[in-house]
Amino acid sequence: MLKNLILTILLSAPVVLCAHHSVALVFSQERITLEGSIKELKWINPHSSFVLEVMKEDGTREEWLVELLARIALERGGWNLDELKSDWNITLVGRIGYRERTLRFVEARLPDGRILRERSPLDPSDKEIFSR
Amino acid sequence: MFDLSIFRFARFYNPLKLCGFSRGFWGAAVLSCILLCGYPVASFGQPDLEGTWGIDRSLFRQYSEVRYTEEGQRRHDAYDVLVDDFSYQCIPSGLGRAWDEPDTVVKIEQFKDRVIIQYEMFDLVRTVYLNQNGHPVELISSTVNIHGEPMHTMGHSIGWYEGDTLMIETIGYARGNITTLLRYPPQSMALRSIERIYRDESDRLVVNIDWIDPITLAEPLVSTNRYLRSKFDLAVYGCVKEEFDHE
Repeated sequence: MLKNLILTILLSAPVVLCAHHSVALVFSQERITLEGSIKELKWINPHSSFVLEVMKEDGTREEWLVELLARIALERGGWNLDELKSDWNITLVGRIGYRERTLRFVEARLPDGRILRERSPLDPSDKEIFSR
Repeated sequence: MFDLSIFRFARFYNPLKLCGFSRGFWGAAVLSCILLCGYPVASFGQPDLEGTWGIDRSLFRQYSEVRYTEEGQRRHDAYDVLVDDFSYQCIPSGLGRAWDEPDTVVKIEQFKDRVIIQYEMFDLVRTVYLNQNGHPVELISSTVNIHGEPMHTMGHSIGWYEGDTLMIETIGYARGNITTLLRYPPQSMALRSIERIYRDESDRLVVNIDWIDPITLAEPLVSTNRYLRSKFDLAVYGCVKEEFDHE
């Protein structure tokens, strides 16, 4: 009896499943292009983000918080999370946020010259995430 | 299919016992197989809505024109998405927000007595019991997150089938916003919603919702979303609170 009970429990143990906000309301349509260095990368949900450290003409530094899609969406959309690394210098195009010094990621020119874009995993278009 | 199989145990026990399977090694083995394999939903005579679904970008977030009451307009105008958005706390602003989510999937599982809807966003699990004799007196949220915390903005739901359509009535909402995408109509505790969920002729899932809120809405709001079968399995979302604040 005990053997059967243990067998039942073992075989029936549940198998573990291997398994935000409106952009329109938070960011304007106005775009800005900034050159800077990537800091504080966060690959998380509901929004990934990093800080872009920009050197101003007067020699002072300014930090912009750049928001991206959720990590889960980026990965499913074809991003390798190694595509962006801390301390890389990039040229970023972003939509200016209503909150001070915030940006919504549009595209970034990476140090190797490639341009990186986002793609929603459920977007039916065949938009490429990289271009030159 | 496997993760919730344990809940399917009870309905098989008595028939198998009659067949002599309740004792001995083979009885245990057969029961275990049933637990792991689950049970074909179609045999319950219900429309098959099961699957993992992702938003169809050709038809989503279709809301009728919002007409607020005076109080609804006041609440709408007072809402500041940069400060008041529950998403920063990993809480959906409302049921509409969960259905409107564009980048994650929704998984539906049907059982004889209930439907479980899992929204990948914020790891939400919504249990809708079927054919209930009305809502209970004490309204407990039908939706919890991965930590078992109730999501009060999602209300208490009961469901039933009408032909090929799953109907869900939800009341007992906490204050929030039906959705925060595109517009952000406020919801009061008087909100009542009726969802109609069915599969169309092209194997797409359609979710129509009537929103009735005498405190905030001068007339019912109607929303429609359509979903396609997703190639992605439901995953753990693992929402991080306050992630927007780097300071």
